Amino acid sequence: MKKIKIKSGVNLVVLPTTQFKTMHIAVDFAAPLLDIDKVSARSLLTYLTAVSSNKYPSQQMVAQKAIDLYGAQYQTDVMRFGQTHHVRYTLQIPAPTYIGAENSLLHDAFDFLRDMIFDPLIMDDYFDLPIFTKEKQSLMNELDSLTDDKQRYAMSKLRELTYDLPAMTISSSGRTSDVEALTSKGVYQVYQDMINNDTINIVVYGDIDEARVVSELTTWPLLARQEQSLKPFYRQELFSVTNELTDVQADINQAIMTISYRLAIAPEDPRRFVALVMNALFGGSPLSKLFTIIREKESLAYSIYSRWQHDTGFITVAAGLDADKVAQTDTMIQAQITAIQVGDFSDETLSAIKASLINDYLSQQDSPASEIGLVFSRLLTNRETTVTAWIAAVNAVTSADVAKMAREVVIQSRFTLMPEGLS
Amino acid sequence: MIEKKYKRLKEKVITETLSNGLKVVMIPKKSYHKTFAVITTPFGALDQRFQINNDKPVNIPAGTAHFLEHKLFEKEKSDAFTRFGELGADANAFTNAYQTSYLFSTTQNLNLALIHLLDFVQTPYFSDKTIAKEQGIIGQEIQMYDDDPNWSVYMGLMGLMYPSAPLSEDIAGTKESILKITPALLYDIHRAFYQSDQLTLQIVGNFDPDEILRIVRDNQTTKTLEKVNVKTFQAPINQPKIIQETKKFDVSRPKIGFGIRLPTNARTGKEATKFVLAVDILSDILFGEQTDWYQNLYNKGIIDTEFETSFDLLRNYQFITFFAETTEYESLTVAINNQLAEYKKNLDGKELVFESLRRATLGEGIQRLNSLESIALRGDDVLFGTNLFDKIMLLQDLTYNDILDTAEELYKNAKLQRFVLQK
Repeated sequence: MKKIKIKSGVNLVVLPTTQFKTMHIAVDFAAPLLDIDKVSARSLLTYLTAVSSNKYPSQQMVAQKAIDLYGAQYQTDVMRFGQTHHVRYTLQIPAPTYIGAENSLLHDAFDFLRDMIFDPLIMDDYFDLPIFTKEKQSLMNELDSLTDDKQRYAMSKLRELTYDLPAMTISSSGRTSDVEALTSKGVYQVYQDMINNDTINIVVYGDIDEARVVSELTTWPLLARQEQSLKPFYRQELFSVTNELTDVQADINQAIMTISYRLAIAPEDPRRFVALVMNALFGGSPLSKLFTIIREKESLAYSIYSRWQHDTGFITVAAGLDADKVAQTDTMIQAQITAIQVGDFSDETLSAIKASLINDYLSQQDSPASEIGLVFSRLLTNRETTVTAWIAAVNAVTSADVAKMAREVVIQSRFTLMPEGLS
Repeated sequence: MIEKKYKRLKEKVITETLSNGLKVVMIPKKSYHKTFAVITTPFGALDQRFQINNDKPVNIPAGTAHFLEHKLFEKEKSDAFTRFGELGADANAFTNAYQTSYLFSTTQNLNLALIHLLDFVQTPYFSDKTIAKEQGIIGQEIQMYDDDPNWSVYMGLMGLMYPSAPLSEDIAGTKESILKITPALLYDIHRAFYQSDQLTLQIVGNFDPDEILRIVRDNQTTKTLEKVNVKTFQAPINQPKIIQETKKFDVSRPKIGFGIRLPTNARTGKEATKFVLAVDILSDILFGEQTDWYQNLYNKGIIDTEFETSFDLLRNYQFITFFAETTEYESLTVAINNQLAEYKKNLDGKELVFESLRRATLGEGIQRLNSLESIALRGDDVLFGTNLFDKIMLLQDLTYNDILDTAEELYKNAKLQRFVLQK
């Protein structure tokens, strides 16, 4: 991966390929996640810049421009990697060679994205008010309706129980009460701060060469900025007791149980491959103990999985199940960790788990979105593992490594959502 | 072996029907790392009554196709799913209204995984014991769907439009209906709908077509497969009794589904695919994000980006739907009805709009071709025998007059039904 430094704090990676029938331009703004108020403001600014800019002042004009760019997909997102917060813009267009519009489409795509990101619809020092008011309401509606999705609701409650750092306890999209308090002027200041101070990484992926990209970017107002040393990996101290909470809700049929475990190996620890394999064996794959034993063999839960987040140092479990099976399932989940700790799993299972992880990893190369995501993580963590090295590292994990790693897993919090009248 | 080239899309499709009737469709993509394979029977949730040879007709309880899909993985002494895992392949299956498909994708052991796919789908094993266990698991799955407001509003609308028709029943059935399933019924269904001439095997990705065809052919000659005559009975489509309905549900904002029933479908093949394309573009001209109609409602806060419309043509059924999240649903109802009533005026002089939307739809189709799964599953292969490449190329045949004719057929006697989910 070749990183081109366009300006101080502004990097570009161009990955030329003819494998796909699309072309992608992705722009990532990264900042440390310290201030809880900023999260909601950054989230709202992605709503504003998704539907308006100085050149395309209404959602209608933005939509029409996407149509004119042959059905381009323009998207803005917020996300979190450990303790960094990211605002990400992506534009996907059909590869010009398939539609016979080579030069103009590429050029127009770069210009459109530039206009949307860097030339917003502002009056003096605030965002256009009618759009601000409407998009603020849209974001609040969206945050409220997240609670309609019971799995996501339970995960958000679990996050509150799990993290020390306040900015880690809320959704990367913000919080309704914070959004409500935002002013157009305040959000514009946060926008300015982002444009001028965030680390900017640009990834261009498709049938295009570096020279062309660099030439297209000359009209982008990319200013030099202080190089930040972002520390994306989040780690926190161990809680001595498990934080537990149960909520009861009417109008639901199923219970949802979520659990978080600390697995805080150091960011640079090469045993991250062991953690990856261990989590896949625990609940991260259809071959896992949680899936094959709790769901398939015991029929205790319809859905159950675990996820390991290297960026935060936690393993999270989520299960959808009948309310009267919560206690039994909980005991069974803990028993699976104990089983892994004592090496109660076969070599065949471990090999299959590794093969499946390697398959997933190799398959990512067939998805532009995954490849682009990978490039952004590499830029953020300053770490690049080759395909060969990655596969070798997974294959090198032994049963003993996995059992030993499982002993470092410590339960930290549990949130359960119960249907009314059944708890 | 028939080879069809799509020069503009740089794609080719190789088709071969084996002597036992199994249809093999191969789409080689050398630049990809993985291969995706899927075997499909055109048997789905809409099929609720059939007859083998001249035996007594058999009724199929709601949810049986989906139930059989789950059960086909479980064999007397092993689990088909586990075997895919051992091979490092990622396997799955799904059932919809008109098909059941079994699939895997892999970057390793392709030949073994492919043989395994054919073997497990063509070798049924059903017992009282395994069926009883599955009734528990699927019972939970149904409950999980019941807690999902998006699913509830969709099913509520189907129930209004097609009372007591198979389409208004959950694909997974009900806790009661799946209790009627017996091993004998599943064996009969397998005999009727899983014989080789009902099955299509599609393979897309990085493989050698000659080698794959040889492997499939060798595998099929080892099997003695019974040939039976099957007759299916389509359930009658009843007239709706109720136009509007409201249901209580714990949602933050009301969720609304609108539907327009169209007369029983008689189109097949390319004509059907072309008609669907015409309807999609027509809906975009009248209800798309870039229209004044949409913007007006969006600016008033009556709709937001959750608003969507679609058209479905499923065997005999054809219907238009609109979904939205809003408290202002009475205003939205009026707005949709007005737009429908004035379709002639609204389409007047829209040739250029049509052209730009046709180009965008073409661009979107091209972008979709990145995904091997989309190539295999997002065409109209099962319903109309047109693959995704055919579908994209058919866009070129569409004229503005097709759009006007389609509008006449769709909207002339349109009657809007409405289902509301709210607190």
